[in-house]
Amino acid sequence: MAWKGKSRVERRESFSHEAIGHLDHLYRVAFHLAKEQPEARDLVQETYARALDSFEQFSPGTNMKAWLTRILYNFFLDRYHQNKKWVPLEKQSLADEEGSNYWERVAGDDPGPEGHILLKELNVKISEALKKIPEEFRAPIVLVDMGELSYAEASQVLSCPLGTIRSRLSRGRRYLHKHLRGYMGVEVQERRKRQR
Amino acid sequence: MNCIEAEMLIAAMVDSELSDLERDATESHVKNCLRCQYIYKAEQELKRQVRLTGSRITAPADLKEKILSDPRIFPGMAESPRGWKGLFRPVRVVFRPAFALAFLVLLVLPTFYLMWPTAQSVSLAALETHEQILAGDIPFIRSGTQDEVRERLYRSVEKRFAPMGYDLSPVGLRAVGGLVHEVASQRILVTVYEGRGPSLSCFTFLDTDGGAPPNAHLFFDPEKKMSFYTFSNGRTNGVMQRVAGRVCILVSKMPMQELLALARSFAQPS
Repeated sequence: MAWKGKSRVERRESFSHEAIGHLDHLYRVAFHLAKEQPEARDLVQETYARALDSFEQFSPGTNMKAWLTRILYNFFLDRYHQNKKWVPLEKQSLADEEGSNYWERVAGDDPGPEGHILLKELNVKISEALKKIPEEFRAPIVLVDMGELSYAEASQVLSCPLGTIRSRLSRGRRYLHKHLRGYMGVEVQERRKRQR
Repeated sequence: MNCIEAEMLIAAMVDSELSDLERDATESHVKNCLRCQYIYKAEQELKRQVRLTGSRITAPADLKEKILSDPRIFPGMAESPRGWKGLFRPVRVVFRPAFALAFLVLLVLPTFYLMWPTAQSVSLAALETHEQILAGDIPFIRSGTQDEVRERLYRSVEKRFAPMGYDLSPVGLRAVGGLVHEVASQRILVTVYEGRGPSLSCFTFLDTDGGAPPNAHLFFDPEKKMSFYTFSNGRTNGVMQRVAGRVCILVSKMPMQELLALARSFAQPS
């Protein structure tokens, strides 16, 4: 996006047209953060309003997708975390699966021959499973796996160190895997190999 | 490196986010450890499936319209340099009748607009019409060449507008005939394509309003700066786009992603 020699109105217009190209990405992130469609719509619309309000803070040539995502996430925090406490039960249930022996226990489970049929439902299950895991682990998965942001970009969006993104992704995927046990193709394939 | 250390690095290995040193050490461990190989494959598959799930979620069609009409975001579409009051108090007296007339038109147009058939009904009717064409319930005139089909359709609406003349031969489809369909007093030109894979119908009509089916999904092509609306009824899929005052809807039983890719590849911005 070349802004040199353009008037403010032209720069704003140029910015807004590029920004609207990230609508699907922002909606995807908002949907998985807020968990509900109406909230996701509000989040995205307000993100655009905020972004256009401060578009001159954006440096042309840098990653607009990450910049917009950061605005969205900050707004999400402002709006949804005011007066909200963490729900300890959610964490408690996940704590059972903590520890390095998680994968060993998974490897001992047998999803059965119905595993392949269940693969069809996998996309729905993934959306449902994402809703169940705590936001601190859900957000990196949504940003990196769905939004295709790098760890560095995700760490900027979430305002946390790169190492935190790395560990939260690792744990987040483990939680997600737990909720999808029996649905994942690799499990089914591995089981079959062992049975032969 | 032991399994506990490797496990923490496998997620980053799947994401290609390890330093060279870390990658070498992790790869070497995974190569010799069945348990970690399993974890690596499971994480790889999980990432692939999560990405796939995400790609299927797109912003609702009306959200973009809402954002574009939000004066905080696109003020150019809502602001008048002199403010709205200026509309009712034009400076020069000679312009007052024109303003009065424009005001009247503004009052009458919405009423007229509400009574007019919408693209929504045409979009949904297009899916049904395609089904009926496939079932042979709606006969159509078969013509020799695409140009002949185009010419016949063009003449049938007194040359007021031409059908979208896509040449789909690169994907193995050719125009075999056409028909003029009428939905709620709106004349629609339908070009029928047959060939390799599922048949396709291309509906063209004059763009009289801005509607898309309420359940349509919006896809914005940033390269072409064009919006595409996708909608379905059972296995029949439709992709709608606007080009130079006309609306074009491609309808087929081919998978939505393929149909959308087809619409995008042939669409030209007006």
